[in-house]
Amino acid sequence: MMEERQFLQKMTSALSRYSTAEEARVLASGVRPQPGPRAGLEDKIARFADEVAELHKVEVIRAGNWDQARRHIASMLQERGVSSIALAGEDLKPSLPLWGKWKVAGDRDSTERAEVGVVQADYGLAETGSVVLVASKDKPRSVSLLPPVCIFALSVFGMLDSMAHLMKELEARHAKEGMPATVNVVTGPSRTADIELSLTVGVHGPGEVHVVLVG
Amino acid sequence: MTSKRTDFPKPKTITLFSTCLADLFYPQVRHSTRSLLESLGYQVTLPKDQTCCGQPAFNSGKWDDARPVAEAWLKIFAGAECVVVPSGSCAAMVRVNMGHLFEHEPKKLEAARELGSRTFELVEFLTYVHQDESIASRIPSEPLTYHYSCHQRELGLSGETEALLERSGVPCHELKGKDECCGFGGAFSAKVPEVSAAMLKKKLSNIQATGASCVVANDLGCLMNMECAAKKAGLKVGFKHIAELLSGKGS
Amino acid sequence: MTSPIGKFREKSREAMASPVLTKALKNATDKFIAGRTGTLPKLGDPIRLKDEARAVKVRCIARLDKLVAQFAENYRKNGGQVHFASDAKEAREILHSIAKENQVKLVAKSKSMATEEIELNHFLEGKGIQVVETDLGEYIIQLAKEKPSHIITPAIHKTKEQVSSLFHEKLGSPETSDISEMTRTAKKVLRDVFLTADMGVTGANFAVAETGTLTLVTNEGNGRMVTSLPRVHVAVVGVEKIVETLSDVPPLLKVLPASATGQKITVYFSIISGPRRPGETDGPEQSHVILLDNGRIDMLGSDYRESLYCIRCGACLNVCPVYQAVGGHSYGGTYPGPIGAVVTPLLHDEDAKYPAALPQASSLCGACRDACPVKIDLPRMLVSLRKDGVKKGESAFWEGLAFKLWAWAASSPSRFHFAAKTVRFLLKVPGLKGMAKVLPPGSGWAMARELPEFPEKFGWE
Repeated sequence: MMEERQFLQKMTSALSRYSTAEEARVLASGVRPQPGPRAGLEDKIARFADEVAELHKVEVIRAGNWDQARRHIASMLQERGVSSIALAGEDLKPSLPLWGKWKVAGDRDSTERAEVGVVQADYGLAETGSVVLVASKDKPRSVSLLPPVCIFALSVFGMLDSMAHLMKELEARHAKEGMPATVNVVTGPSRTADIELSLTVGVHGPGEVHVVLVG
Repeated sequence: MTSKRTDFPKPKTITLFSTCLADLFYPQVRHSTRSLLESLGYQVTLPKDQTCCGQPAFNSGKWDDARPVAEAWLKIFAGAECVVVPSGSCAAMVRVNMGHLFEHEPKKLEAARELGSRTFELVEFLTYVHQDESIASRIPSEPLTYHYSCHQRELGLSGETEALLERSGVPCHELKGKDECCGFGGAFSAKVPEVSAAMLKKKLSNIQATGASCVVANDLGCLMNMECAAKKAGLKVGFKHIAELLSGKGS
Repeated sequence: MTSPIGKFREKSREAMASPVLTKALKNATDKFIAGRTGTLPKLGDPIRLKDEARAVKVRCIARLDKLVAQFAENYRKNGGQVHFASDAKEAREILHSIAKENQVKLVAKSKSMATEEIELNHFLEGKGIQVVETDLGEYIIQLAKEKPSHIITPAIHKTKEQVSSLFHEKLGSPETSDISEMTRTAKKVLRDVFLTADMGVTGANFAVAETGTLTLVTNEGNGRMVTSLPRVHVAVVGVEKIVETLSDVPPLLKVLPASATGQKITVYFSIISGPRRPGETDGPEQSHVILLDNGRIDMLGSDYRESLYCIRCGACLNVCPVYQAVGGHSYGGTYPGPIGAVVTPLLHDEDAKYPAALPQASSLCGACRDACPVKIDLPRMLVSLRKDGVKKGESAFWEGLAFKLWAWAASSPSRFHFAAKTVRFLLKVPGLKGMAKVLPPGSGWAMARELPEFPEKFGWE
C-alpha cells in the first residue's frame, strides 16, 4: 500500500516539475471567490417564490408564524387523507397534540412507511428556490428522503441569497463548532433523464415537494 | 488569440503569405488576395521562397519535421511590417502554435511571437485593421452559404466574414451546423477516414438543404475537403474562398 | 489492422453501422444542442463564469499537495477515515478490506466514474459481494453488462425499446414504451437495495480541504440514499477533486449542472463531512475516503496538468463531432469524448483497449475547448500527446516516411517546387493516379472524396 507520506511527497515533486505563468498570476493575485451582493428580505422571498414556482411548479405557501404554519400543514395532510407521517424540526414540535390524528414515525422503519415527510429546513436559497437541511439527532436524513411527499417549512429569516452565501454561513459554523455531518441542499422533486434524455419526475427522493415559508 | 487588433496601425506594405494549399491547388486564391489588397491601396510583397508554415507536421505530432519548415517561414517573413494570410489555420499556426515548437529556443520563440503579433487572417485584417466595410459591395450576387472554419476559434474570430456577407446584400442562407467541423482536420481525413466521411456527409447534407449554389469559407483545407467530397457525391455546388469573392474575380 | 488507430476505426465502423446506436446518438445530440446554449447565460456572463471557475482550479491544483494533506487531516478530525491508493489495484483492495472488516454482503453504488476507472464492481463480485448500481443509467448498463458511454448519462446509447427489453429480460417486467413506467420498475427494485445495503459507495464531485468535506451532485436521490442508510460509506475520489475552501465550490458548482444537463442546479447537493455524529439516527457509522492517484500525480507534474481542471461535466462530449458520430464505447476506455482522448493515455486505465489511438481520433476542431466551462485547451493536449506518441515510436512507418519527405521538400523552395512538379507529373501517368487512391494516405482520402486536381500553373509559376 502506498504510504501516505510517499503519496504526498510524490505530489510535491510533481508540482515542482512544472508551472505556468497563469498559475503564478492567479496565485499572486490572491483573488478568492466572493459571494454576490445581499438582497433585502422581501426581495429574497420574492425571488425564492419565483424559482420554486418555475421549477417545482408549485406555489410557496406563506404563513405568518409557526402556529399558523403547523395548522396549515395539518390541513394539507388532512386533505390528502394520509395516515402516517414523519416529522422533524424544533418548531414543528412533533409532540404536539395537533399531530395526534396521524401516526408519527419514530424510527427509520416507520419513516420508510410514512406517506408524507414534514421537515423544518435550516436555510433557503433564493437564487435557486432550494431548501437547506442540516442533519442532526432531531432531524434525521431519512425524513426528507424516504417518504414520497415532502413538505418543507422554513423561517424567512433563514433565507439566503445563494449557494455562495450558504458556504460563508457554513464556514463560519465550521470555525465555531465544526462542520455538521451532512447538509443537503434540496431543489424540487427528484428526477432523472437517463433514458433517451426524457424527463421523469419522482425517482428515489420525494417526487412531490411543497414549501411553507414562515414569518 | 486575437484581441480584435483595431490598435494595429494600417501598414504601407503587406507581406502576403499565400499558403501551401493555395500555391499547390488553388493559385487563384493567392492571386485574388494579392489583387484585393493592392486594390485597397496596400503595397503587396509576395516572397517567392515561401512554402509552408509547418502546420501539417505540427498537428500530427511530428515536431522535429515541422521545425525546419517553421524556421524557414520565420526567415522568409522576418522584418515584415504586416503579414496577411487567407487562412485561419495558418494564421493560428503562426500566432498560437509556433511558440510550442520553439519552447526551448528563446531567440526563435521571440521571433515567432513578434511576427505572430503582426500576422492576420485576411478577413480579420480587413475588419479590424483596414476597417472599411464597403468592400462587401464587391461580392458578386449568387445564393451563398457560409461555413465557419474551425481554426478561427483559436484566433478568437466569429462573425466577421458573416458581417461582410450580410453587408453585401447578397442572398446568404444560414447553414445548419455552420460551425460544425467539415471533417478535414488535416491528416485526420486520411487516418480516420470513416469518421471524417460521416462528418462530411452531415455537412454536405446541410449544404444541400440551404439551396445555395456556392459555399463560402475562409480556409482552403475546408473548401478542398468539401469540394472533393461534393464531386464524388455528385452534389452540384460551388466552393469559393472569401478572397475570391472580395476581389471581384470570384464569378 | 492491428494498430491502435486501426482498432479504433474498426470499433467506430461497427458503431456507425448500427442504426439503433445512430438513432440514439442523434436524439441525444439534438437534445444536448437544444439545452446547452440556454442555461449558462441565464446564470451570468458565461465568460466571467468560466474565468472564475478556472481560476479556482488553477489555484487549487497548483497547491494540490498541501490541500490533499489538509483534506486528510480534516476528514479524520470529522471522524472519517482517509486512505491513499496509488493505483486501481490498491484502491480495490482497500475498499475490499473495508467491506470484509464490516461483513458487507451488499453494496449500493451511486454513480462514480472513478469507481468505473478502477473496475470495482467486477472485483467485488469476484469476492462474493453483491454490487448494485443505483443511478438509473448505471443500473441499466449494469444489467446489460456494459460500460458507461457518457460521463453524465451512462445509458445514452440505449433506446427506450432496448431498455424495455432489458428490463423485461432481467427483471420480468412487461414490455412498455412508457419511460416513466420503466423508471418506476427500477425504482421498486432499488428501493429495496437502499434499505438493505451494508455499504454505500460513491465518488465525489468536489472535496474541500479546509473543512474535510465531500460534495455530491445528484438528481435522483440515490446519492442521498447510499450516504444516509447503509452503515458504512466509502467514497473513491481522484485527488484532483480537492479544492481549498467551501467558498471555492460555488463557482464550480455554478457551471457544472449548466454544462452537464442544462440545469441551474441539480435536485440534490449533498455536503458530507464524515460519519454520523453521536446521537444521530441515520447517516453512516463509518465514512471512508479513498484518494486515488492512478496516473493523476504524474499528470500533475507535466503539461497535462490542465486536464486535471476537468469537473466531469461532459460538455465536451456533447459538442464533439467524433463523439456524435461514434458514441462513447468507441473510445474503448472508461472516459469517452475529448476529455477521454486526453486522459485515457495518461491514466492507468486497465480497461483501455487502444489508448494510443485516441489523440489521433480528432480533427482538432476545438468545439470542446469552446464548450468547456473551465476552458481546458484539449486540442493543445491532443497535439502534445501525438508528439509524445511520435517520440515513443508509436507512429506508423508510412506516415513517418511521408512527413520526412514533406519536411525535406517544404524546408526549401527549390525542393518544394520540384516535388510539386514531380507529383503533378506522376499523377498524370495512367495507373499511378489509381494507385494513389488505393494506397494510404490517398486511400483514406478517397473513401469519400475525389482526389484534388493540380492546377496548370502552381501559385509561384
